[in-house]
Amino acid sequence: MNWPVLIYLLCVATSALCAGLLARAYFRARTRLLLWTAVGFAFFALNNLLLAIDLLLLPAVDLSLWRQAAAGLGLLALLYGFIWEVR
Amino acid sequence: MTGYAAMTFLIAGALGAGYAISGAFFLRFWVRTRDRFFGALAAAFALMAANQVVAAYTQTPRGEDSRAYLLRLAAFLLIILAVLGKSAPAKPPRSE
Amino acid sequence: MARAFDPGVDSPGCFRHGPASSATVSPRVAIAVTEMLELLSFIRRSVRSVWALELLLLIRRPPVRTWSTGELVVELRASEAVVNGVLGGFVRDGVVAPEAEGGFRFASGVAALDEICEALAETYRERPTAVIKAIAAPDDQLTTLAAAFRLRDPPP
Repeated sequence: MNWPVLIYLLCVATSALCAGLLARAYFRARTRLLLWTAVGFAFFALNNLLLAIDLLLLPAVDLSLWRQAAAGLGLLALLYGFIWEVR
Repeated sequence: MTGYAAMTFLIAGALGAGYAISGAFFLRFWVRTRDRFFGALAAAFALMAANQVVAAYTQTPRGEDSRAYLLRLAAFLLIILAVLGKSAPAKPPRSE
Repeated sequence: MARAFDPGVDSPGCFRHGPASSATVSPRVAIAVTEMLELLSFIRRSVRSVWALELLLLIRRPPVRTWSTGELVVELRASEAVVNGVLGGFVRDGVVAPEAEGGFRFASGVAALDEICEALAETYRERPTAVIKAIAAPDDQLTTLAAAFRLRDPPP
């Protein structure tokens, strides 16, 4: 029972859900804060997905650069939205 | 310390700081709106920052040995609870 | 004994059936406050941008007719994406009715909607900045953000 992989997949599902909810809200209200937060969570979902894949294909690949890039982009999107779009 | 390891630490530190700052924003939102939802997200992102630190410190990048993933699990369980908490209580129907 | 207004519990309709505290407030004031609250909640729920406000004021002007997206884009000088977004929200909230040939029409004929839009138009005439402020209230951004996480699709 590969718990870490299962946990990471749960994290993928959760982030994807959040990104989806935010995207739905964005397409209705069109506020930029929603857009950037949605983008942020989408990248978090990607980060968790890459984490799961990385772990599954353990010695064969090292996706650490891509994982961290995804997390980094997610954080940048989130922080950009929080800093510039929240008055 | 090899250049690669140094780079790993640098990036992990940057990401940890990013999570921590995002958590601080959520904390601020919680104070402003008094919505517990943001408080839960603030805690979740603080846990993610801790996750980054532990993963880097124990030098298992995928966290599978150090059980840093438990921190990640806690963070996302908090997020799930927060989202469920947002949807669950039905407000009394308004007379429209 | 006067009871504190709790916006989480009391909807504006409760004012009409309130306890003895309503005897201390004149009926006219009570009705005015009720209407103001309903207008505010209508704005928060359905009029989420200045574009939405302009579109609504435009299409409810008599004679009420069917508008196409293209016409709205030209009249409002907005982008198609914005117009579509606003129309989508209005259709969902029952403010606008989609017509068969792809046009949109203000859903007049519903008394409550007509009244509230009339109140909105009048308030905007008298106090435009107050209406703009009500629409763009900064903490509504955070409220909108938090509300986005609702699983089902209820109004905020």
